[in-house]
Amino acid sequence: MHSRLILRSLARLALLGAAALCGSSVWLAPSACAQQIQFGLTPAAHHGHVQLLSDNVQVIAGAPHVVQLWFRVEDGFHINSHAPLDQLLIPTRLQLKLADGVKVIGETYPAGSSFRLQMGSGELMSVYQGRFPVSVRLVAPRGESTLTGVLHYQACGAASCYPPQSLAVRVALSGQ
Amino acid sequence: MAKTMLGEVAPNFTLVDLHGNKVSLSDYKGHPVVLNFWATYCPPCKLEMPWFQELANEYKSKGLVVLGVDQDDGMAVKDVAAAAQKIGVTYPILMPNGDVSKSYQLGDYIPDTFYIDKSGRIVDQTVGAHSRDEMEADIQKTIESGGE
Repeated sequence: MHSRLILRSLARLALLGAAALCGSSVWLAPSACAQQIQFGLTPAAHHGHVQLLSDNVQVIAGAPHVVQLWFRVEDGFHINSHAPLDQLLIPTRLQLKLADGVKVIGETYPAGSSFRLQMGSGELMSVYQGRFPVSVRLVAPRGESTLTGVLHYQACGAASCYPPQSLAVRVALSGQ
Repeated sequence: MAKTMLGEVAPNFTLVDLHGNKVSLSDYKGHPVVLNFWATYCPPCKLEMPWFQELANEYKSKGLVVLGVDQDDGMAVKDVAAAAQKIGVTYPILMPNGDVSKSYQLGDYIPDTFYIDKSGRIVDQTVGAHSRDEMEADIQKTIESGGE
């Protein structure tokens, strides 16, 4: 009985994930991209489905400068954009700390891409998938400093969702 | 993912609904029950819920009861109620309690749904959203299980 539940649910999630990955608009008809269907859990590259890619950035010291912080959403998952279409959904938001002589002026988020649930009437959502940047306008001191903060987000797969998460952000700045 | 509880007796619980009333699973002894864990931030959950409402109406004469257990962390009752209204469900929505999540051995994602027969046993358990047809098949199986 245990294996039946696990296989049924995993097969379901694998099909949904594969359908989403290959962009099929046909519910449960992923045959055109069957090579992407994998039964079993997708190995998690990291806890929480989102990873910070930027770790060291060079900036012009003492003047307003735009730094792009890059993040990556794990394949098969998406997070809401900064401006989700449904007010019940949790927007992605970068919260930076004022410390280490770094003055943050503001953040700019990219527009989300359209994502439609591959079930029922297919609710349309604005999401980030794969790599996405958040642009931070800041003034950094000369020499080495650190930009710290938290990325708030909420991740879903094609047929299930995870609780809201917070990813620690820590990026070394080199002010020239 | 959630551990399977197929064949086990569904753990009893007492939670508070959106109107402040205490609701226990044991209140529905002798009824087939669908217990659905959901959250306002979960689009697949919100896709399933109107189907659960339709099926609750359709199988009401068979004694079917649908209960939704909200999994939002720290959300006000009025906000959960507003979300339930927007989604279009009128079946009981119960406010979260970590003990219930623990006793049902929930994994870290939702939706998670338990189909409990008239004898109180879990006859099916699904994780992730499923189609309306699959949900109806599970409900029919639940109604037919557990004796008269």
